[in-house]
Amino acid sequence: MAKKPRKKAPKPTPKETAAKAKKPKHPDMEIPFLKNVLVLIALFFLTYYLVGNVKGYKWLQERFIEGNLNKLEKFADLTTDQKYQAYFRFNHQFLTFIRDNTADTAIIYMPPDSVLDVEDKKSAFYTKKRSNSVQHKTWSTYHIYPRKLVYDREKEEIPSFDQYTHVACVDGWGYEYLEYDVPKQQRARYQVLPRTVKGLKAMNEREKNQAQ
Amino acid sequence: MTLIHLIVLFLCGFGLMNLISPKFGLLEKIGFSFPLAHGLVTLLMLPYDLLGIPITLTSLYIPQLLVIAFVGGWLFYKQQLPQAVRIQDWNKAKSFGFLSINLPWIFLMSILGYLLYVVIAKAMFWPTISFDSVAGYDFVGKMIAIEGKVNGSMFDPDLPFYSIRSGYPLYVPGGFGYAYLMGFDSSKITTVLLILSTVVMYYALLLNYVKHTMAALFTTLFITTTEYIAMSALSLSNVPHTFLAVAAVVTIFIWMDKRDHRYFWLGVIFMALNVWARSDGIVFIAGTGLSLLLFAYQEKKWKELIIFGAVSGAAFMIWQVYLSGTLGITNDGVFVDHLFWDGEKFDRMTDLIWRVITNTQFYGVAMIVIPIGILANFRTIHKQHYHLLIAILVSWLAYTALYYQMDNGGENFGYSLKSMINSSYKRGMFAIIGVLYFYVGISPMTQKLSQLIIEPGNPFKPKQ
Repeated sequence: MAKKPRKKAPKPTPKETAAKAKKPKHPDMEIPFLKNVLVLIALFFLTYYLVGNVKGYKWLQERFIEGNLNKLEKFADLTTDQKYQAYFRFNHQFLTFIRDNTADTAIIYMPPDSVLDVEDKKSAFYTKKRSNSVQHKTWSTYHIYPRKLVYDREKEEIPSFDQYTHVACVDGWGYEYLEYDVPKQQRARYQVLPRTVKGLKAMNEREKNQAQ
Repeated sequence: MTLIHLIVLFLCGFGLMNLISPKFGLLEKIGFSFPLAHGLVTLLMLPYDLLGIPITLTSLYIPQLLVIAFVGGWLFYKQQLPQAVRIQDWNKAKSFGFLSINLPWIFLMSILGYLLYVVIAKAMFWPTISFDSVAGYDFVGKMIAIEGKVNGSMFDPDLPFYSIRSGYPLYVPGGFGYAYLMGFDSSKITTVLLILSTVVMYYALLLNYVKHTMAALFTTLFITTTEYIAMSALSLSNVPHTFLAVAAVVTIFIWMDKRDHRYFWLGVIFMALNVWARSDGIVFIAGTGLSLLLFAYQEKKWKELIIFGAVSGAAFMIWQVYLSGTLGITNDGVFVDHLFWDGEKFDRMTDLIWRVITNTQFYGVAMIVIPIGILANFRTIHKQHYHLLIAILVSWLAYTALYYQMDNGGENFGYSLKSMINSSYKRGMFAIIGVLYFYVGISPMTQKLSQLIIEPGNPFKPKQ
């Protein structure tokens, strides 16, 4: 079969070529040069005005952007625990101590609120927000999870209260709940100890192994 | 390895978007992918928990891979793969030349980019410290990742350690749990992905109505809402919820406005996910539902109204039943269980709300731009986009009514009205601000302004 001669497309007129060349590839994005520059200048001054005069944007610039970037540089070498302690101080430090000295399955008996005093400025646990303190059960459990906590104030409410395996001893409180005696000179101000003699032996064994 | 898990999560969401419709724009697909995949993963956690299937990376990975394989195979069979990845959008972007540079757009995007950089840097540097997350979402997420179930040791009636914040629906805590399962040290990767998705989604949805410069302007205005950006680096539930609520309300509106059915399905899914993140998201079901009711009456589209109500209502109810039936947590005492009128409370509340919403420290210029925008379009308010305005105002009203109904200072709910308005209510406003900015952003006056800025020639000169 003979091939059909291909029809040549008519040459575009100079007017058509010029129109094609001028047609923007992205009509959505392109704006005329003068408008482009003028709108940029207007936006720049508007932003400058807003950042200088609207308190929210001023805060964004000074506290959120500059403040945070400075903090990130300053605290770059901190570990996760140190970052927490930068916020929650001794409240977190004490919980980290409990976490590091108990097994994952431990249930820790926590002192009453009068001992974990968060309101007294002289107390190591002092904080303005009670919710972010050792007094708050869920908040505290988060930092030691999967270990669990039972509080002295819950004695009557929780059916399995007596299942605790450790006691958090604070300022002399708690030694009376251990099944063995701790000589007074060996009683630290902040301590977490196993409830039973068996637990104490296991703890001593573990410490010995770690030291070796 | 964590990067591969994220890619799988993204591809799963991308696949789901194509399953709804391959016709969505590339930016829409990118913006919706992570939140949609998060929705699937967290929805699966509930039946797994009820059926005793351990929640692990593998058990959640398999359905994602199945989605990717199924959608990939289906698109290949239908020869729609190029459309699914929107090759035309990539080609358009590639042919972008130096002369096409839009300086205002670059300026606005630079502001957004820099802000997002600070958000990501801050979020990934600090561990979870926000109380609501420590005592709630992040803790539940951690427990799901370690124990492989939702009904874990936290809810053990013998030794419980849950708080009022542990009872939130699974979208946020489950998403945090999945972050831990993927191997991240911090669950904040979830918040970061969702704030990035919010920017892309918002921008992409605006492009349905306005050009790039205006879309960039209104996205910047919304994202720079001071309190919103401040909270976005924390692992609170409000930032993810903002994505879901804004996406739901806006996509349902786009369906009503453009009669494009794919947006209806997207809207229904995200309206369900909105209550899968926060139960108070029900106010958006109420607002959009009422607007939809009006639309259904006008257009005789009752089927869609029923689907909307059934799907989003089911998501709300399923969690409530699980919460009280399985976990044994009830909201008793949080709300007054009958309607009442307390003029003093109403006055105090409106005063507190006024102080919060007009404070530029919290919402920047939102409460200046939005009222001006609405007033400027007052002449066409009943003609254009009024379904969206109805949805927003009714949602806002319902949201405010929810706070009025709270039993502040009651036996089971110790928080005062002032503290609730100054914290919780304030954060819940993010989604309302987002949709209000959207409404103003697509209004006729903004389109005129867009014409003035972007299009060549004098916009006030009549077109020949």
